[in-house]
Amino acid sequence: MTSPLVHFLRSYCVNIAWLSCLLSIAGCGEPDTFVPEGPQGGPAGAIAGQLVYSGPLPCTRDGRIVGSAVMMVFDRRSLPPPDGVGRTPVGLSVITGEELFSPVYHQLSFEPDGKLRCPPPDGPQVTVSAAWHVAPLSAGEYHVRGFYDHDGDYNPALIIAQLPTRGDIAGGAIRNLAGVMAGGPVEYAVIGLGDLDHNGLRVIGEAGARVDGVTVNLVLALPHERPLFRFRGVLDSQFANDRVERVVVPSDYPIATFDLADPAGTEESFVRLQLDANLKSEEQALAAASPFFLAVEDAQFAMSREDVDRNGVIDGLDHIPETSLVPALTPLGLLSKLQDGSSLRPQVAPVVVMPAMTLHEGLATTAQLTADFGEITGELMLALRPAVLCIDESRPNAELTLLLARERDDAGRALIEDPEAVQQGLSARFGRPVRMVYGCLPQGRYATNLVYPSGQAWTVPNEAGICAATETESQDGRLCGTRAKLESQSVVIEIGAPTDPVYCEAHPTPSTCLP
Amino acid sequence: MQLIAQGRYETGIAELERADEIFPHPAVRYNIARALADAGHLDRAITVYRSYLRTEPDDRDAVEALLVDLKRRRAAQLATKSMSRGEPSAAGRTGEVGRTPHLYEERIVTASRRAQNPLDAPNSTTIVTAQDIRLSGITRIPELLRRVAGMDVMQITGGDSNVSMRGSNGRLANKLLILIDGRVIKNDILGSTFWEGLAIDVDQVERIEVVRGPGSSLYGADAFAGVVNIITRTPGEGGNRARVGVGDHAQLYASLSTTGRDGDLAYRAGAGFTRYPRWTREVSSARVDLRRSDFDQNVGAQNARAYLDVTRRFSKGKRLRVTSGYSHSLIDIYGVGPFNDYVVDMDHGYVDGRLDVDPLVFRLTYTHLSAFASANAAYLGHGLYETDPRQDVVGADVQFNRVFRLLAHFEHELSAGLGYRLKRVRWNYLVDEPPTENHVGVFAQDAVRVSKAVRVVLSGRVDYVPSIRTAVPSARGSVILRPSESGRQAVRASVGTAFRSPSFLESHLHLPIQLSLAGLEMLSSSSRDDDVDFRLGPENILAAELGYANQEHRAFQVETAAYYHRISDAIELADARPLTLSDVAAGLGGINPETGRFRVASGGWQNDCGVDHVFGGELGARWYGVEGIDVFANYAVNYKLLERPTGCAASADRSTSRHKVNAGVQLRSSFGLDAELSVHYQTAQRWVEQIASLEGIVDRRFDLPAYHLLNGSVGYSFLERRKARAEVVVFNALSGVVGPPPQMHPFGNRVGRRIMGFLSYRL
Repeated sequence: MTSPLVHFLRSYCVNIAWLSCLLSIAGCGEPDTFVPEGPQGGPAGAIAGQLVYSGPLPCTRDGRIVGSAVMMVFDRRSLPPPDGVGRTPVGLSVITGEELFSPVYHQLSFEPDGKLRCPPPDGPQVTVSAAWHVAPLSAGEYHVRGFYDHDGDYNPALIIAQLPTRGDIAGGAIRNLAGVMAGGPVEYAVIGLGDLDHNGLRVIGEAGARVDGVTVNLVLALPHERPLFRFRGVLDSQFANDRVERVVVPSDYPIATFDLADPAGTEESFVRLQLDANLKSEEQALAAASPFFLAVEDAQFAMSREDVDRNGVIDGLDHIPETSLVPALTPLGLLSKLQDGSSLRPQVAPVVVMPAMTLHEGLATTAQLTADFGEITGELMLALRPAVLCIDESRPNAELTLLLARERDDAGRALIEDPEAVQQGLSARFGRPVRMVYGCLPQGRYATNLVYPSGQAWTVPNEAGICAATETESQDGRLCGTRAKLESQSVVIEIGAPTDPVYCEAHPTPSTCLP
Repeated sequence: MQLIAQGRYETGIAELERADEIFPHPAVRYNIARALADAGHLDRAITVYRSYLRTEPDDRDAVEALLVDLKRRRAAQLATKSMSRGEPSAAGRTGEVGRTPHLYEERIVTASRRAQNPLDAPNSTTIVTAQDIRLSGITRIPELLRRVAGMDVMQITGGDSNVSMRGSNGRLANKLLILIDGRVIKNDILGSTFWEGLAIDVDQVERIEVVRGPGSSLYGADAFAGVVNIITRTPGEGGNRARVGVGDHAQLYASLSTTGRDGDLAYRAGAGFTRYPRWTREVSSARVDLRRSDFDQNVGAQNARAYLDVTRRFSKGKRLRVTSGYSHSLIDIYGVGPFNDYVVDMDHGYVDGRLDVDPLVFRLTYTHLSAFASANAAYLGHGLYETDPRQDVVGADVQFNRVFRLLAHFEHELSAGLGYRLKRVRWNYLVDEPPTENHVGVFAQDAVRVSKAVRVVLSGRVDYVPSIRTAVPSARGSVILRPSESGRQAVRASVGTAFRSPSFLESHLHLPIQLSLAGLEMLSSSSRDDDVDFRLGPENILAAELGYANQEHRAFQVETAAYYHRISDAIELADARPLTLSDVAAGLGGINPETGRFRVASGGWQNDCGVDHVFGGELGARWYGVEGIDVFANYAVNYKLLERPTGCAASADRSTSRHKVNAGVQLRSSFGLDAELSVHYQTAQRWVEQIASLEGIVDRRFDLPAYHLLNGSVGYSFLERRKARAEVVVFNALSGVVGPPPQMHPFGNRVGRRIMGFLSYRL
């Protein structure tokens, strides 16, 4: 090891040499590179490529093109529903309509008075492209998803407006574009950023990392609106919940009967939420206007069988985790735990999600549904499961906890037919190992989410029903600041105290599910 | 002086003349003149007395009378031809004692806006002398201030130094009022000082006066924690000079100046060039994840400057001084919030006229600044915030100074004045057409000498600040005791208030700031759509100080001070306010057609709800018991406690080191060798910085370890009359020997070692 004195002398000799150099030639050497801790950030990853839009011409209003292309980058281990429980993209890039459609500007039409003008449904299709890039990103593997906001109603700041709606042209960095164009399921390309180290993990080098040539294709016109809903009622014969405005599920959540030979009894054992695909009639006019602009006019649910294994085929393998006898349906129902003290912010450390069971006219009817089931309907039912998923998103390789309040019903029947298969399925979906444990569910307040296979979703509560911190609620509760408050959008589902505290002492909530 | 007292006039005069060459000083010149007169060299004595009078001394009348007497004696000498070889004539002897005891007594002008003895100053005052400047070899003016007790000098980049004192350390340092010859030099755009963009360099600096403690009662807004006044060399003094320097990492320095006098007209003109590299680069050339600006990635600061200073004396008490300067600079600075590693390419010019018509002083100043600036680099998909600010400021001041006796025993030194500033800024970070601001201030100070030992100084000022539409008062009261018979000790107690008004950036900000998710932005604005009555208030300080200074001993000086500051309403970045549906109802939010990003939140500024209580003290001493050797040392301690009123979630920090030590030794030899070795040490810091994140503006804590700096210079003067001088200067000599080079701010460069060699020549 070099002594400090020798190091000191060497550094001086170097400096004297440099000084000599400078005396003859000013300008020797660049300063060393040092990236301090702090907001300016060091070497990071970047993804760049071309956005290719294929679809109808955009609408125009007030002399401008309506809408913009939005590209979102998701960590492959934290994808948004239905593929995961991720909430926030790690990268978001926008290309305005003005920029994207500039090559075809001459084809656009504008109303003289500035009113909205949209191309006819059978109008020409155009293909335009623009460069895009997203940075900074950490080392990892990513999906790129996106859409063109055709109706200009997208707003990333608001839960009620942060997802695409009917008519938007969706897509992403798709691996099987031809298959998608033929009607097949979308397979997103996995984009690796960073070099692989000796442990097989991706790292960003000193020069950063960059992946070029990623093509994002926006080609799929979304056929449905987001699954806007309100709670019509609650069905509960176990825990005395009779008002949907205050539903409390005990954290030990005992299940009286789980026997598909007795579908009625089984259904009765679950707390069920009845959802309507619209708001109350007295709210609809307000909801359609500013500042909500909700699509209440012909709101419906588009129900169908869920392709659980994502193989593009609906078959006997696409069933609920508990049993192969009951098919899985969409829209998916997910309850997400909220941050303590907040009605809008989801808890992020850890993410806690209760996957609900979507039912069409009850368990018995659902069990009878065939592979080609698909219906536009105004109502559906969510049966709340005695289980949650707990995910630590700050540690992408950490195992996911599948917490089950009960292993068996009151009669001793297993609640899950094949636990191993369930764990494997979840592990494949989330890209991390899964540990199944039995214990009481984490108490707290939960938001309810309905999610279509397209990723379009609706969440209650949302801003329409909750006043922000800077919006003063009126005394009668009808206003937040100067705008209306939609009461139906404020409902929170709660997991509360257990029916049997002794059970919870013996089967406590694991720490991986606690904040 | 001893040689002269022994009658060895020629040798003594030669020594005095050599001293005057090295360190020109009016008192030295007076002694030369008197010695010449005593030696019988009346012609030369008259010449030197005249050069002494050109320094505008206070005893002008007495010396003019002496000149009359000398001329009469010269005439008599010629008439009697009584001069013999080498024998001193009694005709020239004045019989006076030489001015040795207070040969180097300084006078300061900053603490009371008029010349006074530092012992009479109402605040602790330190002078960075011409000797300090010359022997240190330092070319960065902020680094010269590091040796002052209680100062914080923070180099973030090679072009960005932030100077503050007594606990107000921070980026975009704006708590000190920085003056050059009484002219404000801060930029009103950011409220900070671009030290490496000045039109002067250290070779133009005569001395630097540092007044610690609030000074708003005299200077108005922004003299919050103290005042630093850089006094330039007087036109006509010091001769023509050239100095060039070259250092490692392509450091360059050049300074040329010429000065002269023609009767009552004197001038000084100078030009110079400086290049400082970055200490370290944040962005390597190999980076593939971002895009860089077109600026040179290695330059921290580059400055080309020119300067002209002309004075004209019309009669006793009537003088005109006009100075002007221009600089073109490229500097790398750090801003606030998300603005780091920002490069400014700017032009700066000014004209300043000062007319003294005793007892009035009139001043008219015009300053212009225009720049092109941008972030040095940004991730792909993120903007560089290119911009081109422009600032024009016109200032007019009138001051009245009068000494009189109101009652028989009380002598009053009264100063009163009126100041006006017109400030106009055009900048695309601000609202469209920000208002032209008209600032008005009126002040008065009365220094009452109650007795030989007691002096009371009271001052007050009222400023109208347009951005807050309020008249803000400031006051200061001091009692100064001179307890000893000699009057060379002073005990000082003072209390004062000061304020800092919001800068243009704080008053009129309107800038969309891109968030980490590149498609999103936060509108940072000084006004609030959701609170139309919101107004940013000024920062406020209440200060109390107790100080003691002792200059009794000829070879030793000591000074100490203890202080308390109460700082409230500090201006900081406001918490982000997420977009709400009420905002949407009001037509806000959505995509910004100009930027192509979605606005998801609002931000801006706010006055911090917390109150800082700062306790501290300074102890400093200087010893020059051995001829040619000066030793100086000082220690400063600073404690800050945060008071949080109910509901306040302010974060406590420790951005000022609790303990700071400066020490050094200066050597001057009779054979031309001189040197200085200085060391600076300060303890660890804890910073709380506001940064933009996915969640908005959040406080994040950063710890910096303690660090030291060891600086040294060795110079050798040679050739006849020591006209030439070669010098080697090392900054942070031990960098990298004990731990990595220090950072002075968590986001800053690693400040390493730099060596420069200089060659200077005096004509």
